[in-house]
Amino acid sequence: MVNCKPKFIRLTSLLLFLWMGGSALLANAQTQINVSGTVIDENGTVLSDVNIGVVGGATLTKSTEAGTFALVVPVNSQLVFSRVGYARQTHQTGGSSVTGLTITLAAEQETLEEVVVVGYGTRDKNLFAGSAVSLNAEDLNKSSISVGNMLQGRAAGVQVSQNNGTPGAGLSIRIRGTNSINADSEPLYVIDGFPASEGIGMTIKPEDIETITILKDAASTSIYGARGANGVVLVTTKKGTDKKSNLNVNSSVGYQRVIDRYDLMGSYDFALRRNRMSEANGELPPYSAGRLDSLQSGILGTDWQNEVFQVGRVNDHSLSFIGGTNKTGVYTSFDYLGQEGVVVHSKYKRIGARINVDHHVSDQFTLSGRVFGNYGIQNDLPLAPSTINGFLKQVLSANPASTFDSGVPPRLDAQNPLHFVEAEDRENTSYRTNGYFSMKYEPIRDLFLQADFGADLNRTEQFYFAPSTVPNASATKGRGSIVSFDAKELIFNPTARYNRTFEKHNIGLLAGYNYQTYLYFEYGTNATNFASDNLGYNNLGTAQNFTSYSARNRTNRASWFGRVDYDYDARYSLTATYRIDGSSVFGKSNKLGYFPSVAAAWNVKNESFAEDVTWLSQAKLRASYGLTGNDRISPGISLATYASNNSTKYTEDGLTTVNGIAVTRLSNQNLKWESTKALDIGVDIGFVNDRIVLIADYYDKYTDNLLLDRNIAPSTGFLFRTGNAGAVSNKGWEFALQTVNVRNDHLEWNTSINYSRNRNRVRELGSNNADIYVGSVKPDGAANFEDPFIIRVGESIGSINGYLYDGILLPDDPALTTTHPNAQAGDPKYVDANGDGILNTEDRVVLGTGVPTSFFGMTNSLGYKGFNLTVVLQGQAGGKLVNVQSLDMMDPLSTGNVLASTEAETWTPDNPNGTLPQRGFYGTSHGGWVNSRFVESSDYLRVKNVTLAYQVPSSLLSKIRVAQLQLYVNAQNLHTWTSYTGLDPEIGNLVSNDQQNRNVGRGLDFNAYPLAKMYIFGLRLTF
Amino acid sequence: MNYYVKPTLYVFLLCSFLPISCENGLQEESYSVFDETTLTKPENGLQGVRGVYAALRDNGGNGYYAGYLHQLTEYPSDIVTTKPDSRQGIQLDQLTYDASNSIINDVWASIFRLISRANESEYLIGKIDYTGNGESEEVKMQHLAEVRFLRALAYYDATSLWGDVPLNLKSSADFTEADENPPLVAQATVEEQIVIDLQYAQEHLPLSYPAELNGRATKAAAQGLLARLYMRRGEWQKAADKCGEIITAGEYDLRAPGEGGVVALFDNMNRSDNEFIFVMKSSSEPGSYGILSNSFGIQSVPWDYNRGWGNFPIHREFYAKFNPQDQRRQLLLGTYKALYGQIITLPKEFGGEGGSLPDTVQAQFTFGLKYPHVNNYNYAGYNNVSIIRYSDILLMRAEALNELNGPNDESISLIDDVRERSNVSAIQLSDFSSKETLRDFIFDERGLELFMEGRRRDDLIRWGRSATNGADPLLKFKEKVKPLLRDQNTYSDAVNYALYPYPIQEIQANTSLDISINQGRVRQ
Repeated sequence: MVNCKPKFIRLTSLLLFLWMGGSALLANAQTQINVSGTVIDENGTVLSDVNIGVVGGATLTKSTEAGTFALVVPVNSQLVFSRVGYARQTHQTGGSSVTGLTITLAAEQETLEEVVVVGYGTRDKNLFAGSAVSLNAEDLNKSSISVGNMLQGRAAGVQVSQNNGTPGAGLSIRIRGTNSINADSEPLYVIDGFPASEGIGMTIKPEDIETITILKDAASTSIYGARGANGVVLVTTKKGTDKKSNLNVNSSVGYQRVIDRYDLMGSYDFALRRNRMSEANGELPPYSAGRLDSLQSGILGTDWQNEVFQVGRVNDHSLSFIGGTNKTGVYTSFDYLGQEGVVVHSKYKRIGARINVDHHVSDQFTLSGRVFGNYGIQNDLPLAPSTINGFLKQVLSANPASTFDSGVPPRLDAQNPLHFVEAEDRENTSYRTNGYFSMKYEPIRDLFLQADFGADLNRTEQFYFAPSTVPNASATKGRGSIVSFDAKELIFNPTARYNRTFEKHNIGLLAGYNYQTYLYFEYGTNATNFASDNLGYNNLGTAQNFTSYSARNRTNRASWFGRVDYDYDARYSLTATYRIDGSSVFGKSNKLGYFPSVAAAWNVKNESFAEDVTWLSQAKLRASYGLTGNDRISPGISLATYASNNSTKYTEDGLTTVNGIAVTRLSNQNLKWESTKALDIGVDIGFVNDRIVLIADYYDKYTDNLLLDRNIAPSTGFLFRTGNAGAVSNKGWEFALQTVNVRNDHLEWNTSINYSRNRNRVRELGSNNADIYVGSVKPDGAANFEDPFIIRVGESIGSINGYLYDGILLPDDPALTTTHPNAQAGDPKYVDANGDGILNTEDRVVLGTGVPTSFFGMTNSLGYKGFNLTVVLQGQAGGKLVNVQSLDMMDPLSTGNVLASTEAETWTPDNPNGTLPQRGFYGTSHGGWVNSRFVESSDYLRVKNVTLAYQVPSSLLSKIRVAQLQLYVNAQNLHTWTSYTGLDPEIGNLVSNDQQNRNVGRGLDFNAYPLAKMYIFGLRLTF
Repeated sequence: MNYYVKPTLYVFLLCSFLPISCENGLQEESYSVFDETTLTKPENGLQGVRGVYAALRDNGGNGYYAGYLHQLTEYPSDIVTTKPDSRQGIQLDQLTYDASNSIINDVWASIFRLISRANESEYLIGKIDYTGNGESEEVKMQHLAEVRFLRALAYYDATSLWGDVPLNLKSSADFTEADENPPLVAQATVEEQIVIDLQYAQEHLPLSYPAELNGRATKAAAQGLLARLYMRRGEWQKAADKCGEIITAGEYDLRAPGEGGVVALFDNMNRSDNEFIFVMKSSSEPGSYGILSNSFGIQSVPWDYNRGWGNFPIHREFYAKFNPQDQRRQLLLGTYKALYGQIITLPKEFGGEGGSLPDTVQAQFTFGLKYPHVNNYNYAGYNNVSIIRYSDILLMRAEALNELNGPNDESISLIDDVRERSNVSAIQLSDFSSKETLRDFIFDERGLELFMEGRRRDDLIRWGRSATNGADPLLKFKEKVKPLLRDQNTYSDAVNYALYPYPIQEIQANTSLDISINQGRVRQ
């Protein structure tokens, strides 16, 4: 409370300023004149109910049924005529009365081209000084299943990556690089004005979206203060005001399959290999001559990739209605999505509905409501890249010489390698209900008071059951769990806006307050010792032993913000914003944060000297600078806490469990938001009537006070500590080029290209700048735990840290006695990078970054008569992947299946040309499996989305009372050019799902759910 | 229309008041965890104590005393070896480990986690008003004594494995940035602290507990650990006296042959015995898997026997050392019927039954049965993991007296107590002509009695130290430990095998250390 006062004064003065601006207009009393006339539209039809007044004042009168009006105003007034659905028209009166005036109002254009949706409002595109990408429905990827899919390859500086191909898995979006190490780096999503704590994931139906605007620079996002540092994605859904009533049916079916497969050893070769291995160990060979014959002739044996990969069907259907008058508009939709995965036993289903209503109660008063709800059911697979749980490793290494043709399905056959995939039931359901209510009131002309109320209710439930027949539940006689996560977010968001024009000066003011409260409740039950495997999680009561837990917390946010938009003659524009953010997750001594920003633009085209340059259709220079924050840390981190959980249980008599407590975290009273300072300089330039438009940006971001889980010495008893330490910078270029290549009556060909390049560097890491090792994992029981990723000053986030592979140690290699004293011939050889004469962990070097540095997207859209072809190419460069999957499948000592080439490639004294170490890479006494041999470039160029649509001519349709019918074919991930040797370069699996891994540990290809190629056939019917 | 105006204006009026609330309503709200302000009762003190006991297994089936510690203390010894495909184990067994060995890293983190929990509990208990809350001051001191005993145990292990280690006695609430990067403290200084803690503990711990609490530390546990420390330091008189105090108090004895002897002692169903002075307890309750279990059972025996993992194979030569009458040999797997029907046995020259293929398979190794395993995939073993055992106390006193006085009647009688319990013939004072011969006999006897109980590495080093008067602690280690799996000539004179390398995780995160501190601890 002590430092409360200054901010309040700041706010009060802002409101005062706003009020004075309004009242100044009312103090005008001079000689009066009479003005009368008629209002018509462009077709000459008279218009009733047109509001007429003086600019800046209240409505004085309305036009009659006949379109006529008469009023008394001061001399030299500027009259304004407005009506919903029509562009506002002004008329300057002279010094004397006038009659018979004819005012023509033009129907309001689709103004999406002209305005940019910004936080808490819109801005004329010509005056917008920040950096944003606005995408209309037609600019988004077709037949997309999620919002993330829609954006892939479409916006410069927006990296959308699908690391996990599981149906229903969300995509990860990074705007202008990764700012954070431990805090969430996903952008803030604002759905129809509602800043949501939860991401969007699969919960918004792509079909419902009218526009998506991505705010990238600090001046645009700082209106969201402590939540704006990662960029803001504004999603605007459809509304029906002034639209013709239409019922739309969009229905598509399709299928998907894996992009590629591994070339594994066949059953016969495998059996021979196992026999040889057994003989070498002095054991009896497991496969007899008879078995070998059967395997060779194909009577026995199984290709496990055939068994585990499947063709998945995709069904996507929606029904929507749009329409309305100039008073009321309605958009409502219902949709169903069903998607089978490319791996058996995985699928996703979503059902949802939406209602958007807008109603102009009067000219001053508008009400809007937005409600949507949906639920999704995902059946996923164990993806953790650990040795026991990863399904891909388990199935790929399954014995191909085994045969399961007894007619018993894998779900019931405990010996079948697919059994644990098929028999374990995993179901994640998510429910989202989002309601948003908004009132807008215009007490005096151009002063808008708006109050928004909203609730965003999210609930996720995870069900899991493993029967007693699968290995990880046999000891416990089955294992089941139900976990529920319940998040409720409530918002109250009043704002006031005022616009004023003084001759050529235009001012817009905004002041607002935002209160959000986020309630979180999580609980779960784990059950073991099931009486039978039949009921699973549908009746945990059949189990005998239970452990339960629950956790509850609450986050409150209170914020105050203001913005001034100013422009002079549409040539020079300036925007300044200021936000004060309070959040309960911050430590005691840092509850409030302050976020200012400023942006300026010079619209060169509107200068008199440029007006005659006809080839130049637009030219604008922009610059912005601002401070934003990231407050997305888990609540409670600033406190030290004592936990009571499994790690604190003990027994004092060898039977009864007693529970203790233990400290789990070091406290931090000073915890606060991360702050990002960002500069953006940009240019928008258009030629030949905007047939060529180029948008280029340079940005420079510096994030400090990072919310960092610093590794601290294990000898403290803790492995890490969370605090504000360290800094990260992101600098980069973005280019977007849109061209209209051909445009005539029959043919239209448009191209848009975007390219962005980001340079990310870690600048500081706390006072000791100690490296942070990320992603401790061992791909196999025989392997050492290694940390594939490192956070190191001077390197980029996502750096891969490992040894430089230098071939195989030959029997006479001098390194055996110098740098590799514990090795033997046939072992891998690594470079003694620091030259200290011994190979140890100090010889690891940065082998690249898992986060690509350049992104490319290109969309070609070709329209010919009723046909439309859209091809989206997407690519990335500069990133690396640790191909652990290959490494693991090339282990010469593995008794499971391996890549077909493994034996031929293995070095032995008899095979001196082999390139694979005799004992593989696991558990060597020197070096390790994270090494340059398996760090591969993840560069690729991909045909991401191809859509061919045909619009059936309306002449054919009118007979069957159909307004429009479109048939389309869509293909996704159709082809990829890459040098990557794994299944797919876009893939990446996380060692764990914590934020540090999401930000840093992205370059690991191991046990990842493969991406799919998808083919879809659909139709879109409009009645 | 006007009736909409008023509510709207009210709403805005409300808005303009809200900002005044400022920082109010922004205090942290987390409802599901304890913090210092809620932990003010004696029962919270007890919970703190239990949290420290729980750290003995460090959250799971393998941590610290639930398995990994024994890999550090048994693999590099003359009795136990490892599986050819256990890569981490091979590094330990073959003495080719370095700072990144995961077992070394794991045990280090576990030890210091226990220490941190102990420090935290000491601080918490210290603040709790016991007498004002219906408990006696004695209970408070007993709680503190338990916590300090466990801390001393962890520091004892740390100094055994690494020598100089960081010494931290602070609660995390008092941490400064320097405390996040603790320097190494001389082993002697750490040992002083161990002695202080154990002296406090032996004073305030009870002689015994009721049956339902018998897993907790007693006075004899503190005395036994103190004796162990004195033995390590060669302070023979103090060690002999401490052992004597335990013997005189009479709370503990050997499990008599009439009660099944040593074999019954290690039976799965035997949940406790007063031969065990201090054990890590595991629960046999269903549902304790992974929480209150240990994996010794499944780790110890081979797959062919009853689906174990066979991670602790024992050299055949060790089996051969037992007299066939010795009941302790029944704690080893000599001859058994495999899951698949064959008889698996040791060759005759190693004391087995011999035989040949196809009916009989000659075993390359034997396996221990001190941690019996139930015949299933269940790695939720609930065996007692002995930390201090009465026979160890007897043998320590026998050894200490021999070091002080040479062969003597009491030493012989103490050894005979241990031998006779297992049906082995008594030894005579006249069998031993010198201190050296009795010493060598005692160390062999300790091997037979205490194999797979985590004592062998300490014993080998102490043996060498005694034999050379401190000049070469590794004398016996190098003589006895044969890294047979690969290269017998692995020994490097530049490496002090008595000290493990500091783990890489510690070196990376602790700015007080750098990689050069492992000079002389790993093969270069």
